[in-house]
Amino acid sequence: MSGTSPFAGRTRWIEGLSREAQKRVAIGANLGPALGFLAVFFFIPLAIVVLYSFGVWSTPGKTAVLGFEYYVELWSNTVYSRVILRSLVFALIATVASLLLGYPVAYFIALRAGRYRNMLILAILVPFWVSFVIRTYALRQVFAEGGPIYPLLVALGFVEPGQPFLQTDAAVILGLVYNYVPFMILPLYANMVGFDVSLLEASESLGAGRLRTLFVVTIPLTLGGIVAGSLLVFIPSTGELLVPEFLGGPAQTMNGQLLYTLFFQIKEWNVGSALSILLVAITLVLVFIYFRLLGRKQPVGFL
Amino acid sequence: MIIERIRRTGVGRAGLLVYTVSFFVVLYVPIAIVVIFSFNDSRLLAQWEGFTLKWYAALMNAPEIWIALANSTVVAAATAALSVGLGVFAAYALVKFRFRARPVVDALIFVPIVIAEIPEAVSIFLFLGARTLDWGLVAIIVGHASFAVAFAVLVMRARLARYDFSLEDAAQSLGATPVEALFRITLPLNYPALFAAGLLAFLLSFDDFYMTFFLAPPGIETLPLLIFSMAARGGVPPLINAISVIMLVVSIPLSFFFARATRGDE
Repeated sequence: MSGTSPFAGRTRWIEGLSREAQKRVAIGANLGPALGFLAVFFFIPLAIVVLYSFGVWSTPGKTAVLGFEYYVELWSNTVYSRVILRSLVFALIATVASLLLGYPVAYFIALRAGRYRNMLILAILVPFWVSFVIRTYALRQVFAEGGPIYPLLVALGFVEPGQPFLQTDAAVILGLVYNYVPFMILPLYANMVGFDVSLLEASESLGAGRLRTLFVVTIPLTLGGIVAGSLLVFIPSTGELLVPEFLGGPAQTMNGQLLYTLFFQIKEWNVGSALSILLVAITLVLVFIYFRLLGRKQPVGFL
Repeated sequence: MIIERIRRTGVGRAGLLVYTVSFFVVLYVPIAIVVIFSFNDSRLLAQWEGFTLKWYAALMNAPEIWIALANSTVVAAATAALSVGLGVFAAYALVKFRFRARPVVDALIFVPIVIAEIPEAVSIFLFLGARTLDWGLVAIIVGHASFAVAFAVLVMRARLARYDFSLEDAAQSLGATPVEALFRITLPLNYPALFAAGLLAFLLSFDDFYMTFFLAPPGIETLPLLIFSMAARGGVPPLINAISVIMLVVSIPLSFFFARATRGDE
């Protein structure tokens, strides 16, 4: 193999190093570029947002106030705090709804689908590869008055006959659920696949009813999946922009839209940075609690 | 007695089956509507007036759509190349070696996919001093790569977890340097994962809206941005649906290739 390889001549020096030094060179050379890239295009930018949020740097053309000023403003200015609270409430409702709607589906695919299991999990993933903007625009057509499911929405009591369903809280929350429910199903599925069905049979044969088995055996055993799925739905939902933009109106404004307004329209970079950091902080706290509660071994369900 | 029998023979199971089937129907109806309504002979949002191909004909004469498709493709290809180039080697180091900083490095690489995309986009926007115009497509590419790298690492790591690293030792004992062993043995043997990581990064970038929305310089549009701006301006729904179908024709087959290439990797 020597002679034909472009690497042989130039990399021979490595062999002159000790085993330990070789390992260190290999780790540095392989990890260095990725970590360097993330440092420059992820961690340093994030640090810059922190600086803006505390007023160390200011929006061009404005003077910033040093300190917690901009975080306080998020709370004291009701225009902001209303959007933030609304986003959290919408995200929470969407998370609970995704759990209730997604849990039986994950259960069916993992434990009852037999040889169709792989096909069904692929079917959960396909919508995920349809761009978010397309899915949300699709919902706008589905929800529209005269749209295909409008009669069903009326029948289910989501909307009074003749009233528009778009631009309501329910439309936005349903939009969040539709877009993010695959994120709930995947970790639940990953969690349940390794699950010993005989435990359920044992529980039932020992006299626990179906419901009792569900609450005493199944749900506690799938807690890791429940928490992971809830995080994966809740975190992106809180920062949503497209769903309220396409399905909601001024009364459904959410954090993503507020961020866009702060950065591109009224140019309040300091307040916008404080909101960004607030969202990141909420995420990191939730993820930290997750790992604390459940340990690192739980499947996160990305792959 | 009867209730007991029904319970045992599984009305519950039948109910679960019916529920799951209806869940999938609801999941796919909106996507089917986009495809069907792209052939709709009406400019209204949700009224069917008859079959037509005129929106596809209109696409042919709309250069901004083809420019957006070209932008999307260039950005996605560059994101894929960058993510694979960085992620594959990071995964290799993380799987092959045990070292003290490993758990920390592992966590650092995955932070970008945990955090929501908009705060991330905002941070790159501020980092570039809001001068996205000077950066052109590059701003979008680095934004996409900042989260796509982690996905490339995930794909490669899953594959290398099943790889027998003693093959590298064998190569070295036959005279290869460690670098040669990596490039001529390990990477070629794991090429399906390289391919899959590239596909995943390409798809994530091609479909991305948020990062692009915050980082695209004025006047530069990718397909998702074009769909958004047309929808926001009250554009003709069937035409927007036809553009969406063009996107689906690219991303759905690629996602099947991805699923095939990663089969067996957990």
